[in-house]
Amino acid sequence: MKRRYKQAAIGIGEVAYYLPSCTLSLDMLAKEKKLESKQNVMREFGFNKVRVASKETTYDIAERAVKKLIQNSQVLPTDIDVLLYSSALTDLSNYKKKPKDATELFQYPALKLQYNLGFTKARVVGISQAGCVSFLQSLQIAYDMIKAEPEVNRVLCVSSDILPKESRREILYNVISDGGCAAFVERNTKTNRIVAYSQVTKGFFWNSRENKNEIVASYFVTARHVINDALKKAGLTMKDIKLVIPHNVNMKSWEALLKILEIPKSKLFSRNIKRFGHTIAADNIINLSDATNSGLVKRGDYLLLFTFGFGAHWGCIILQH
Amino acid sequence: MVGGELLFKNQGKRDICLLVHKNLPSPLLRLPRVKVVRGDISKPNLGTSKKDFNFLSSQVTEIIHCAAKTDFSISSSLAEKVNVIGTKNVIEFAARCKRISKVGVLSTVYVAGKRKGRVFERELDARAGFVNEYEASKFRMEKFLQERMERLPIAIYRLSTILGSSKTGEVKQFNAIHQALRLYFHGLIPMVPGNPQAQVDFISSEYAANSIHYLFNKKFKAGSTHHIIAGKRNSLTLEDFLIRTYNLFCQSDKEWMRKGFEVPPIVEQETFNTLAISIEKTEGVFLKQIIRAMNYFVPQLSYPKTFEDKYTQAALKGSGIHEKSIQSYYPKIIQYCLESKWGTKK
Repeated sequence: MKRRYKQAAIGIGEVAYYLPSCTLSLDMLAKEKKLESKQNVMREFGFNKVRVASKETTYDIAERAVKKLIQNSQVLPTDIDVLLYSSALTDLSNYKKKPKDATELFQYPALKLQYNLGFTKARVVGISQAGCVSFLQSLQIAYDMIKAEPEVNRVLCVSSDILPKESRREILYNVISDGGCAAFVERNTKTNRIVAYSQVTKGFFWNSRENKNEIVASYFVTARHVINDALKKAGLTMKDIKLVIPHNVNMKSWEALLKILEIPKSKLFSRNIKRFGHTIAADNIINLSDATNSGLVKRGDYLLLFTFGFGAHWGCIILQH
Repeated sequence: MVGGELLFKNQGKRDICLLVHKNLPSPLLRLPRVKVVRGDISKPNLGTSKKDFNFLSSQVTEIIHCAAKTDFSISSSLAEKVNVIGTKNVIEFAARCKRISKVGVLSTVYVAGKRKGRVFERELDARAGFVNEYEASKFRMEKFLQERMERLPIAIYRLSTILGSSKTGEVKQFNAIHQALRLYFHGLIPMVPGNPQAQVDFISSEYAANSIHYLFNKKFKAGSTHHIIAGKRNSLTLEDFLIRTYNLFCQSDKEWMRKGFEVPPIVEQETFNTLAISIEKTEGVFLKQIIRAMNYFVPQLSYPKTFEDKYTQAALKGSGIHEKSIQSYYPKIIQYCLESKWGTKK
């Protein structure tokens, strides 16, 4: 069923992100055996360095991103109606030791965040199992909540992910950073109106390790499908899009996808691929924030945010700035 | 494959089969009119003993040379050895057959290589280059045959890609197209380079065998070249072919539809190359193999061409031999491929 997005001015009011300060170059990652491919290949693919959490926990990153958001927006913590906390990865740090009793399994970072930052009015919802699409999906859920419930005016979406310390930092030819982001989805917003959203989930690929080749093969055609579907829902064509705000996967795959979609390379905001690599679910918001702050986006411009997540999910959201 | 079909069709004649293919179906070899001589066309005197060679050269009156390496990933040296040297040896042998009256040689329409547009039966032009060593070797073979046509009664039969039986769907030889379909079925084709509106020309094994049999036996013309093709009238565009295949996979295997595979996008060669070069640099062994295998033949799809078969159609007039539309028998081919697990199930 087609969604009628134009009726309500629901959009993304403010965005913020937090990346750990510890920076590792490709050479350092190679030295620590954190890459599967050769570092010069990853460099050719557009990567240069990544951010790695040294002391920060997943929660710390989420909290810092949210604090930044609150500070920038001047929104009162009590003016947040819903908190959507998304995480692509299961936070294993809680489970390193055998729990003393089963109640420890219910220690949720989203609730800790609600209490610590005083979001006393906010309902809390956790979003998981959507991989790198988690954040885009939470934006869509926030949109739907505001649209459906008159008492919900502002939803705080937050996402944070850290790879386990022992894990490699290359996944499917992409170099991974730790990081998090936060955004307000609000009623009557003046910026970043949510125009359309499209998502495809293909459960056949749930075993990402075994279906790695099939995922690569399906990636492009499904990406085209989802992007075209979002454009169709928005009543737009690719020519109407001012900027593509990507997930920071390797540049070669973006070059191929841009050609399939007949999008000029100049429309891709790609500078952060080199600076940060792929930060699981936070890329689109990091890039939206940096593109906006760089003055690349003007009022009324249409922006296309696309990402892919293991599981597998493909998600695309179209905003009007 | 075509050689076997022709042996079955040659009723009433005494055939001497030079066995060079280890997989030649054994029922053929048990036919009472077939005498089998083992040999190797890549060797002088066809790799036969002096006794056999003398016997053959005194007895043979007609030759249909079907032996070839048709693997698109074939190395340059092997392609030269079998397809060029092998043919030269067959022609040298023919020249020594005192009673020789006809020599038919099977070739491929893809001697046209990277040419685009209309390709006529009498043309043989290498200027556009070739997609793989198979095409190039068949071109060199035809060049040699052209030189010998003045001295020997030679006709060339250029075949399109044989898909399988239009009656039963049986595929006797799984070639590059079947391998590509297998990859498609397993969701392993990321994109297909080519022109969506280009015709993809496939023929049935019956049309291939019937046409060659008729042209060779009834309408042999020394110095002629025939295109044995489906033609636009019986073909699909690349886009239609991919969509039709997708629908047939869905219909034939309910589980397949649930996997969420889609029709691969048809892209420009440059886009495919971007992906191919990237994958080549990664450690993904299996994907590299897929892309390399595709690279041996899919670039042909970026050189859209239509083959003319005026001479063939004129010669076949009144014979009752005509190709069926691919749409009428393609479902049987897919069914056979799936049931035989792409030729692996015995």
